[in-house]
Amino acid sequence: MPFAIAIHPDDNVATLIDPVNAGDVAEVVLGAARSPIRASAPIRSGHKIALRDIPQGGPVIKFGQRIGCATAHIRAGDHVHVHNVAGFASHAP
Amino acid sequence: MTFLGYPRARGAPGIRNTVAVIAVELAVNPLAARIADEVRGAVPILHKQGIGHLAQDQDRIVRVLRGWAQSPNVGAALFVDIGYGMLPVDRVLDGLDAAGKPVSVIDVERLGGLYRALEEGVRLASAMAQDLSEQRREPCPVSDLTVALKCAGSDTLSALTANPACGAAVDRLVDAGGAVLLCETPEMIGAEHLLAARAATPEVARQIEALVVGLERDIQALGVDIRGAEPVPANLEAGLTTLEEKSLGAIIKGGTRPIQGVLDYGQPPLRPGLHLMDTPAGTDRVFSAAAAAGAHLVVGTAGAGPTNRTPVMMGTDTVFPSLPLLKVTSSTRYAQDSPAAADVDAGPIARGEKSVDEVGQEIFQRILRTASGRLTVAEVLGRIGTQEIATRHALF
Repeated sequence: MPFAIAIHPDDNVATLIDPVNAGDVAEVVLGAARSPIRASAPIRSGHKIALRDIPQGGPVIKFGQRIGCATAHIRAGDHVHVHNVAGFASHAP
Repeated sequence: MTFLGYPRARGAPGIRNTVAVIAVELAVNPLAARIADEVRGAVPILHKQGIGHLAQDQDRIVRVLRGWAQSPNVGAALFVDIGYGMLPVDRVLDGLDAAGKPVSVIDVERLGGLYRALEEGVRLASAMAQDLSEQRREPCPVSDLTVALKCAGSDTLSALTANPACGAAVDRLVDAGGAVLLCETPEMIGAEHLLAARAATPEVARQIEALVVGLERDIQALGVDIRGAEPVPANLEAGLTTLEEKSLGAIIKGGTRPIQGVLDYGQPPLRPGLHLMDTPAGTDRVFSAAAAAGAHLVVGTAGAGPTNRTPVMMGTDTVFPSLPLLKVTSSTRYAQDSPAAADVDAGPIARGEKSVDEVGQEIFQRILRTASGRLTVAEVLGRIGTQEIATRHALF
């Protein structure tokens, strides 16, 4: 089974180590825990898969940190990348 | 714990013992290169600066040139000067602490032109090389080592394999009393709160916030958005989506220990432990600063395979002659891709075939062996070209 790595329990995305096709079930590894996720689209290895639904404008969380916000509604199993996520770009006041 | 280094009269021992033929400015690059070419054991350190600098950039370049000669890996330094330049060699020599190492200057103007300067340069550098050839490595404490960090071609595996393993290695080095320089200010944007939380003192935390917010303000003042420049196309292709994601993955290579200070570009650390150094992200510019700050070697974590088939790293085409680069690759596929791809492969971490700590120990051991004289792939296969000193403002 293809697998993906989640880093922090709060993460709503995981990094695929193997590529997946639409409909494939990948095993998500988080420490000792394992859980399945069904991919909704083909996703290349190294790219991210959503573990949960993320509403438009909601935070995308990896490392337990916000890495950006959803620019479209993201469903569990979707490919998460520049087409549906934007960074915050600036933190300067 | 020890390694075999070249003891200096003062300060850290060297892990290499090169005669550095340092061009003071770009006009003398060909001469410095020719002198070094004639002398076995000599290396040319060339760069492109020399005209059109505002005072603060002049100060920085002068500090970097001084730092290159002071670098512990340099056993003797020969500055090559045009004689009437914008970067006066007297300013470089003023305050230079060579720890008893020989330092000479040749002045093309005073010597009466290129060919007389070439002859004099070869005379001086060859005497230096012969003298250095009698020096021998001796056991030195690991606490004498300073290691700088760089990542290149970052992909999403970098944050899962190469960077955590590098972090585990540098934690060991810090625990042994060594110094570590985490560079690349642009790749701290979005992760500064985590770095500030690890500051050894409230003052250092303020410096970390000021460093990152200051860079963001500079970018805003230009009226541009850093998105579009970062993450770079190879990062995006490999699955990295935002600068925050890249930064949060990049800082992992700095390990977990408290941050003892924030250093200006090319400024040596005054105490052991983990430090941040203000540099751009460009590989050549990081190496120039690391060498000037007295780093013994750079651990470079390399992702995105095809762009890292070269002996050096993405973003540079040349090795820094007195600064070994130790490459750690994020994926076994990349490690096997080219003989030049990696010194240590962190790829097996992805599938649980090795632990982060195991590969961290491998990297730490490889740091010690490199320090004792083992050549890295970049040293064996890389070419010496022209270095980059990062400046803030260019007039011409």
